[in-house]
Amino acid sequence: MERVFSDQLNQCRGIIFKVIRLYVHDPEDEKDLFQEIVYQAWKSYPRFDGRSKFSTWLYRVSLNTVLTFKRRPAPIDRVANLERVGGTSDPYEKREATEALYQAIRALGEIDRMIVTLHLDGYTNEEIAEISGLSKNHVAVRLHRTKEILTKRLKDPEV
Amino acid sequence: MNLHEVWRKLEVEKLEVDHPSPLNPWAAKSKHPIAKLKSAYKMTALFSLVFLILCVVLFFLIDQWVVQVGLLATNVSFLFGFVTNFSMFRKIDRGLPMDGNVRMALQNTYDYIRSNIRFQERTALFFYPLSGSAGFMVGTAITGADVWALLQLPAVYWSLLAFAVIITPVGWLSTRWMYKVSYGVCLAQLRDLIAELDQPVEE
Repeated sequence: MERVFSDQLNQCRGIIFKVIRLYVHDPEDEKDLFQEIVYQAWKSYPRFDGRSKFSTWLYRVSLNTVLTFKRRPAPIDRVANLERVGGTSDPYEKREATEALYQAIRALGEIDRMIVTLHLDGYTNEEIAEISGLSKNHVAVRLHRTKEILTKRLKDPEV
Repeated sequence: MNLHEVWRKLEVEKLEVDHPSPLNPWAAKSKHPIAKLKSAYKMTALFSLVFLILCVVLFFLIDQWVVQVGLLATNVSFLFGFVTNFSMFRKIDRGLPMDGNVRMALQNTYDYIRSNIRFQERTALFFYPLSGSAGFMVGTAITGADVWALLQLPAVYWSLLAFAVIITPVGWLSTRWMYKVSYGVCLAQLRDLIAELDQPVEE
């Protein structure tokens, strides 16, 4: 079982990195949390029945572990990162736009951060509701608001 | 700007971590509140065991029945402390499922930490007065004085009673304070997230 788990984990470990980077800002906490998530996933693995995809299940474990972990509030230099966003075809600047979006998401509240990240990763409102424990309607309303905030921030970093 | 399109281009840099074995649990200095609880239970169990052994040795060394009665009562409390803390230390590994929804995981973690803190606070109510009184008797016996004769003096037994009356709330309050320092931020974080999830939304 450990072999199967490790293979699946290695294929999806990007999810863990993504969740950690969205919520944690201290290198020591990052390492600690990575180990914690792997451990929690292993502990919960016997209950994984394959009804959802392994990646969805791992996303859930990662979010739960990160959100129940004591985190230090992060200083986010949002303006500095967003100032560089422009409507250009230059690949370097496109990467900057991606980084700006990432920083804008990091500046959101922790619950909104979770909802919008799941949405951007292709989860439906119903799936997000199931993962978060919110109602589908609640997710839809919050998502709509958050997307508006993000779009405004990306257009005008001062917002 | 299409957020989905921009997001897809995101390359999350990989963390430089050794792949930990899932069978090798908690990091040595994990800041996860449950890991901290586990390590606190381990330390308390260890201290209870050390004091239990010490009290057993003193029981046979001090030949005064009143001190032996005090030590016996203290031993019972240390034995209880050792057994409960050790069993909590072992049980905590099988603790909280993290594969439910986020709301449930937050609430479970919050309730689990709160109930463990309440348990420790209740233990402090009888642990400190008992240990303090036994400590006083042992200290007196070590000086060579007759503890039973000393306890007949009103000044001594009133002092002992006053000590027990004062130390009970002090022990309870200091335990509360210690747990507030250790878990206060974490509990506030969990409470805020739960409140945010429970907040009704207006369309």
